[in-house]
Amino acid sequence: MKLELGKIKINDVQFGKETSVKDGLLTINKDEFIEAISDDPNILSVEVDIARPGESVRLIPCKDVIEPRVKVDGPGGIFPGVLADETMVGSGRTHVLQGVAIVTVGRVLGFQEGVLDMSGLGAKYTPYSATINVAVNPELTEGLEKHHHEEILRMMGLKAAVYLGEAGRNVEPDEIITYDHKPLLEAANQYPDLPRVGYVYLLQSQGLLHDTWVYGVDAKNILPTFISPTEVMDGALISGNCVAASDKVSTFIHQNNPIIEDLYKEHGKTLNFVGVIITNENVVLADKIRNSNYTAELAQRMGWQGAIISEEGYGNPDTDLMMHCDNLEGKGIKLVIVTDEYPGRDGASQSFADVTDNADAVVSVGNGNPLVELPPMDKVIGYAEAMNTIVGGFDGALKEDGTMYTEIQGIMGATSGVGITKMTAKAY
Amino acid sequence: MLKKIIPEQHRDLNLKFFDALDDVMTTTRDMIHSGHALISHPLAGSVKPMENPYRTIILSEETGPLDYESLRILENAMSQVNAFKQSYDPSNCPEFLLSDYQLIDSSLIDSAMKSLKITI
Repeated sequence: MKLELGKIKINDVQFGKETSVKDGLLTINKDEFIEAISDDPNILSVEVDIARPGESVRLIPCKDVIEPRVKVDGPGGIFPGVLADETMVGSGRTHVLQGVAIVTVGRVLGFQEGVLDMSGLGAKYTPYSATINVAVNPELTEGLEKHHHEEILRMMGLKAAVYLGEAGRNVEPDEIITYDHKPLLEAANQYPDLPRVGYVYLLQSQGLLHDTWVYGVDAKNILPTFISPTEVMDGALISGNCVAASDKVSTFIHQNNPIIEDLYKEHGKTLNFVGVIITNENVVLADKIRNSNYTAELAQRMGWQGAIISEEGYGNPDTDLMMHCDNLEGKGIKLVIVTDEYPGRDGASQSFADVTDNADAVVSVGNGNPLVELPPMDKVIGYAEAMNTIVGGFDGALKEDGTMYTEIQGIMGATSGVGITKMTAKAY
Repeated sequence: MLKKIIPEQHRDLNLKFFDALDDVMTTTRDMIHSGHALISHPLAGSVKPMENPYRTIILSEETGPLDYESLRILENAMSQVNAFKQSYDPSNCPEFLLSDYQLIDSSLIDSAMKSLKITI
């Protein structure tokens, strides 16, 4: 499976007459855009706004972030099983509007997440302050069930990304990167002297507002399975996770998973990147046992010698993480864990809800508990009062002048479980 | 989970209700010591302990020898609950949020019940 990602660099986004990309400028016909994303009868109106890096703008509460992409050659379409048919994706050519993201904003639950600042301290914590964000915020009919609200918002974001992605169909990309994913035997023989390394990709699947979709299938119902990393780039995985802003793996992060990127960078140099297994994080312990056994068995049958694993969320997924660790290490597959930590505000408690002696190689992507002060912004897209009830915040977290206090876990993507953030800690 | 939102067909299950999260956790620990095993994980999947004042946990009806794995998971969960007391005080939870927290807790247990093939 070979996928060419054609990256079209976008330097600015403006509203205008015709939705198009020219010389790095994405122009959006606002009326046409709103029409394309508002076909659900429960949508009364949609506010669309643009937030650029460095602007004094706060978006709150954000749900998903999605990168506009379009399939220009090869089978299938972006977001298969959801907006495109079930044809397998991951080969051919896909164009990406790089530097742009859709951000869905809306109040699904009373307690809210997350905050996304385009400047100031908050901007340093989130990867989404580096993109020009097209925020969509629908007003919906009263009395909708929460899961229905979430679904409408999720679908709106995906449709918005597909609509904007279409503008890049006939544009010559600034850069084309080719990702090849060979059949197992071929891949194993390609670099026989390098260690065969795979990626175990845990997907949040706890239930309402904690879901991930695989080709349109609810991830809680899957057994662990192989997936080509190039399928993930074409939107085979979609986030339906509406809680926990900082460690949420948004659809944008699925599309741009940095662990997959880095494994490709090292492929043929220090390791032989032989595949990806997706698995879920369910509520019942029996599911965790079954699926972690199954993942380890698949990895062993594929001849993996080492693996990287990432989790999404906190709490009971820590047990999935540790069970996978025991099972993979138990089969002699050396495992590195990538995860965020929650050791309490004082940092003195255990970082995880579960541990094992086999978890002896861990990359931390940050601590979600410290309290940070975010300066006031000139403009708020969404609902400023949500800051009082944000996850990681508290009643009174919003001051009169617009200053807000939140634990880092309230900031979008700040401790993303796959490590897409830029901040790091150094000891001197 | 609140008594009033338990589906009718499950009201004959052996259900225990408590006023505080700490009581849910300590009773679960005591039941594990009495030989019950954890069926569902004691923590939620993303919403943090103490942030959500509600927590439903499923244990086995039957008892057997002490299940050390259940005990280990529960003890770890209790230590996380204590850690999050620095971040949240459930008694300060605004009234209008309570129904949403109930929904999150019940939806996770719905998901567990479906996985256990118990139709709800």
